[in-house]
Amino acid sequence: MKKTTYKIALFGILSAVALVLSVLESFIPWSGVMPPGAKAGFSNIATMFAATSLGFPAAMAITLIKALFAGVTRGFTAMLMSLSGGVLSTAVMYLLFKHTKRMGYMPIGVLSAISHNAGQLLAAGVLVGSKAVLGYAPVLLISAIVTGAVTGTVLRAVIPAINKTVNNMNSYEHKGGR
Amino acid sequence: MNEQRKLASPLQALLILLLAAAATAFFFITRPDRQDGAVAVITVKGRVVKEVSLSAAEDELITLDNGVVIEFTDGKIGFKESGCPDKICIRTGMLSKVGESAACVPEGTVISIEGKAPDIDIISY
Repeated sequence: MKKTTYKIALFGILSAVALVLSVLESFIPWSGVMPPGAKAGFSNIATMFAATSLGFPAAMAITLIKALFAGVTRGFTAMLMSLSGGVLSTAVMYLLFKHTKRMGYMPIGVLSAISHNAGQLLAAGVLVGSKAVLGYAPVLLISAIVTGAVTGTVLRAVIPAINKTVNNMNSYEHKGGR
Repeated sequence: MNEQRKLASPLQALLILLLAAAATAFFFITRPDRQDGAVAVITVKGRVVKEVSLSAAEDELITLDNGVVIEFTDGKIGFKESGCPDKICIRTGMLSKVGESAACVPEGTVISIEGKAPDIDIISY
């Protein structure tokens, strides 16, 4: 399989996974479990995977697709919130993946979840014209640590499995599977 | 369990624990407290549209120009109705302590409880 074909296919799959995860997440009744305004952020698993395996432009593109999808399904405000949180957290996770060798998926998941919330609070503050939205910061921070640890751990478990599958595909090809 | 299969190293776990401790401390430090003479300030797109004294005796149902309905009962105030999709504002619940706030971002509406001195702001702790 050609490298570019592989990358295009993976990009398409990850975009689809990101959207499906955010839809599935919206079906779960979070009220009572999560504080108001907080989300599990499962679709970050796809974004983080893209940031590690496809690089910065692809991860950002998935973030943009997610924001557009939020805009179409949940309105303009949801799009801006998705965009502001997504862009900041994707940038943070990419820089961490690139410049820290030993940090690991879980801390990166946590820090990108925190920056996602920070970006959203910033946008919310601008949209409502008040810094009172920062009242949501303490609970969001705590939930970001929990959800970020979960997404990071899922990624840590999933990546070796996917790499194994890809390697198997490659070796099949070398044996003349073309 | 070899190194390859571990989900997190001790160093990573420590990092997370430190972060969690800092977040918990932040949570308790910024926790709002009850105060006499507290005022609920309602803003729409940054502009103050109404102020309600929390010590007011009469209950009130406030309908704003943007259709948002705010309820004031027993010294507590909160969003009751809003046209927004996620209803985060309503789920935030009733506010009564200085420093608490509820926001409806799609409608640009914020309720924040402020103390007597108007120059206190919630982020300067």
